Amino acid sequence: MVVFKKHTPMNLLVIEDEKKIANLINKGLREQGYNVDVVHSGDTGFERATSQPYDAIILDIMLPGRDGLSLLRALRERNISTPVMILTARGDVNEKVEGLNAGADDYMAKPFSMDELVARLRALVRRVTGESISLYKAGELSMNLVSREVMRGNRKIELTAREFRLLEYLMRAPNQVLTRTQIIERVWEYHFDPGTNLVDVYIQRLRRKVDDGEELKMIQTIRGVGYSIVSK
Amino acid sequence: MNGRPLRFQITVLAVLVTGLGMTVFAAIMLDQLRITKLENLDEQHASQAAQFFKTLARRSEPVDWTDDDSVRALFDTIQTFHAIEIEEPRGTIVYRSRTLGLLDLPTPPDGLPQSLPVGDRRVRVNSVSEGNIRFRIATDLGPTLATERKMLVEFAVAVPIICGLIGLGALWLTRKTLLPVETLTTRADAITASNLAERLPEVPGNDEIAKLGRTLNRMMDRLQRSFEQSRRFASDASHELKTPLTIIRGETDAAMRSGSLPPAAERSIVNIQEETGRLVHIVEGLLILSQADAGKFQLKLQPIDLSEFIREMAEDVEILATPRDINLEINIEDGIIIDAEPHFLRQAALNLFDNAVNYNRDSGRIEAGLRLAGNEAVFCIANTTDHPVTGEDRERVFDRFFRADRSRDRARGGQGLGLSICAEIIRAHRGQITLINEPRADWTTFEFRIPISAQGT
Repeated sequence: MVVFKKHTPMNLLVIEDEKKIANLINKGLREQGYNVDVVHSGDTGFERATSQPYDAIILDIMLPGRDGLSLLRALRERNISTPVMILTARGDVNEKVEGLNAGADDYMAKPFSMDELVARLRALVRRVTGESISLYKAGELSMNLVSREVMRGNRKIELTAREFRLLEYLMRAPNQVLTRTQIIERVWEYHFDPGTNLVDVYIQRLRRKVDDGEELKMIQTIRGVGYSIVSK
Repeated sequence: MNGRPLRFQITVLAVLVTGLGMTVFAAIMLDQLRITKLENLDEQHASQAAQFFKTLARRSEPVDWTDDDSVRALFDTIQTFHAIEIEEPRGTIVYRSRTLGLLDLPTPPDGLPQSLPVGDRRVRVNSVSEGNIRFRIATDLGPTLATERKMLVEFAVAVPIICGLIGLGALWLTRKTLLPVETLTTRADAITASNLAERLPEVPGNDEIAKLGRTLNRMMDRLQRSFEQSRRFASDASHELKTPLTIIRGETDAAMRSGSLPPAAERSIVNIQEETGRLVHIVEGLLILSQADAGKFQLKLQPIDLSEFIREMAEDVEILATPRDINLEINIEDGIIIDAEPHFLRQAALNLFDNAVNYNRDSGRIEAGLRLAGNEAVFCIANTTDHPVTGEDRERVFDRFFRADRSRDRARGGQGLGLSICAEIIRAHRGQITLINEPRADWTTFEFRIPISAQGT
């Protein structure tokens, strides 16, 4: 569960011509409780972005009609400062740089994962709107992303940077099973499987700090699948 | 001589042929001159002899051989340079030219003129007998021989001079002819995958070399086209693959999130995710390589603390190495800041660490170190191994699809691209990676150097 200090459902505009990807984003963002509008062309996207206020725009660079970059430039020329996250199909740095120069606030390179997109989007909106305190909560476990304080009930838990990132990833989606591949890719950003017990070792460490001496073991192993944090 | 430049081969050959030709020519010419001269003399001698006997036969009274004047009347048309001897049947010389003094003329067989010595000279002498009178006539060969010697000297001087001139001429001509070839060679040498669009300079004219240049250029057009096709294919394929990969990843994530799958299906999804991750890794690698080939692999660099970065990875590597009881010893100098793209640099460093674990032996060792050397951050990683890279393999480790140990690598699912991708990433960080000459026989050591950040210090 995610707790924002100022909690209003956010309105997001997704401009993406690849329908399957658009659906994925739509589904992923709605699960997070956002209001999402999806359009499939640059022209419609521009129309929407200029006629309605959005909290953020997710914009694909490669679009039929008006392409993402010129759409972005046109928005900025009109002083529409809605935060924009661009999606690039290429690992092409030039495209990223061009996008950022055109006024994008952040970018994601395909293939991206939804939870990464959500996390980055959240950070983006937070940065722009100045919502400064962000807190993850799962049962009696709480995690302050700014002060980096982790508490289980009244007990303070000291974590290393990596352990913090791992716990943060688990707490983004309490009660959901996360696979080792998901964890290694998103916490470690290792994009291949180094035949690893890395995740297991870190989960053990985290478990010792979070669950040792507690009645409820919050970090659970789902054999053959992955790990999950349970809130009750 | 085959090893020498063509220029010298041609020159030497030209000089040799000229010298030999002229020498043979001179020899034949001198010989012919002598033969002609002697034939002339012999003819003269013969006609003199005939004249003598004719005059003698026409005489009604006998000749008084003691009276020089009456004898000389027999051959008054004979020129003064001849020497004449007349012999009677009894062997008495009845007349001898004054030029001969006391010398005897030798007697060659009748009608067979010979060149023979008389005193300190050589003469051409002819002897003709008629009745009981023998007539010998001779001409000093001195002037002829002198002429011959003079010509010989002239040849001896002229042949080397001419040979020299021919040599210089050949050298100049071949240089002029082959200069475009040298230019072509230098330029062709400089053309690599990253500047395939360059062409050889146009050689003017329509000679063989100009044609060669144009043919090579056309060949390179074709090469460039097919090279670019394959490069574009790799690049397009990687791009095209990214969309479906995003979808697969998103869909599997969504399926996992739903939490309503039977356990067997969940395990399938775990496998799909693993393989998708592998695929993403391969696609990204191919994209890096195709971009690097096109000279377009540039990274947006930002200052990072490399010491911290490596330390964090080393912690992971230690965990990865534990199951095989590999001991990791790491030595990191603090506070080394470089400009980097963390995502890519991580991939490169992880690749090196991963190799150090995977090519190690059980209970082996890894030594890694990060230090500052001048303006460069130097990262060095050494591991014990049962298969050290040796010989010519050392130069090929960064080649694409290179595998030192084919069967083993394939079993691990390696594509032989890891180190070449690693090298491109390090290069994009303005650094370079090398395989170090390791004095310890069963060790492999890699090192990369990246300039430290100007902002970081």
